[in-house]
Amino acid sequence: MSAVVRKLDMPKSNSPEGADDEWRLVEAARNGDARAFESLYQQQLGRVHALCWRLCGGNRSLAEEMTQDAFVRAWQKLPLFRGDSAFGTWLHRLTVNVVLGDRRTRLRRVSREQSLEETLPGQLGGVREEHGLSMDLEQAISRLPERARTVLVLHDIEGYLHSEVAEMADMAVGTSKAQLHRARRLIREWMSHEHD
Amino acid sequence: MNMTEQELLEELGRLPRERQPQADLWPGVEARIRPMQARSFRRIPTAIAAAIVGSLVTAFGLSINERMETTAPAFVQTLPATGAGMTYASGVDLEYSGALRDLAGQMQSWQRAGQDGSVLMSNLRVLSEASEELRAAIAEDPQSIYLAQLLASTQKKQLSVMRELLMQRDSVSSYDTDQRRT
Repeated sequence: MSAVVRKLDMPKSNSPEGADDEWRLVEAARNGDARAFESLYQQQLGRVHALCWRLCGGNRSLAEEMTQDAFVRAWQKLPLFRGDSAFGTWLHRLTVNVVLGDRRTRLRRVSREQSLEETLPGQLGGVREEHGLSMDLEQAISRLPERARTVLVLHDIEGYLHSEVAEMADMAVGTSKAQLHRARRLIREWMSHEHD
Repeated sequence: MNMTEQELLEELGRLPRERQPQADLWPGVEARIRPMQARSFRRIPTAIAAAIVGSLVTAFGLSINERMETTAPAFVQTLPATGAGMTYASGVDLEYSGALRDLAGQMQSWQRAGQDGSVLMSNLRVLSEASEELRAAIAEDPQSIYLAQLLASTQKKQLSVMRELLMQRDSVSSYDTDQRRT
């Protein structure tokens, strides 16, 4: 049984007042209020960028580009947000679709099937300043092959089910499970060697 | 020592859920949503118009052709051209507003005489408010033939209600006169 707590449905603010405030901002933004949308942006930026950063394998410029794309897409799609879930949940899934959609259509790709020696120095610079196991773990995640990394990030970190991952990543459920198994095995191997 | 899968999952669960970007990304987002913001503002008059159509159809059974016309009707072409050019909306307003003013003048004298046509007056108030809202919407979107047609229909109905009120006034007045004779 996975120890990962499904975090997707936890709202930014657990209070009813927080949810009301968020809804007021959403309504205002839907009516064209850019200041209200900026408030939503500030509230959600960290989550959205973390997701983009990990899905993009630690590529800072690509992660920032995807983060901007996600918020622009959210502005466009806001009229379609019905409030069935928290705004953050809706935005999170939209972000995944933006990143994976961009990956499918992108002409220029940064290959993540590289060996560690080929990794560009700047890409993981921020991670190197952190301490302890989390630094090694973030590096290991960024080293994963693209599909394995996608599944690990979405399933084990972000809490999506395999059926959801498969739908978003355009793969079969069985493939999602196989990629997750591969990702976990690779990370465990790398982490074990790191501490030998 | 090999990390177990359970240990890995626990470590993954402890990873930070947020990560702030190094650059300020908002200016780039704002620049891209600003043109969309301007377009959505232009849609507001149509939303107002849709709400007005709904309330008028409900209140008066008003039959309004909601199809967007692409050519202005013939009467606009006979209007004198102004330096700035006559829009379809201003042509509509010109046609009806004179008649509305005349009838409004007659109604005011009737009201000062203490006559009452409360239901019709109430309907007239609704139509008058709708006309004002439509004029405001047209001010934002002066080229909209749809809004102009809506204004035309509303003003036609206003005229109709005013005439009905004045007929009521006339029939009350002649009744009073007959009563005084007997």
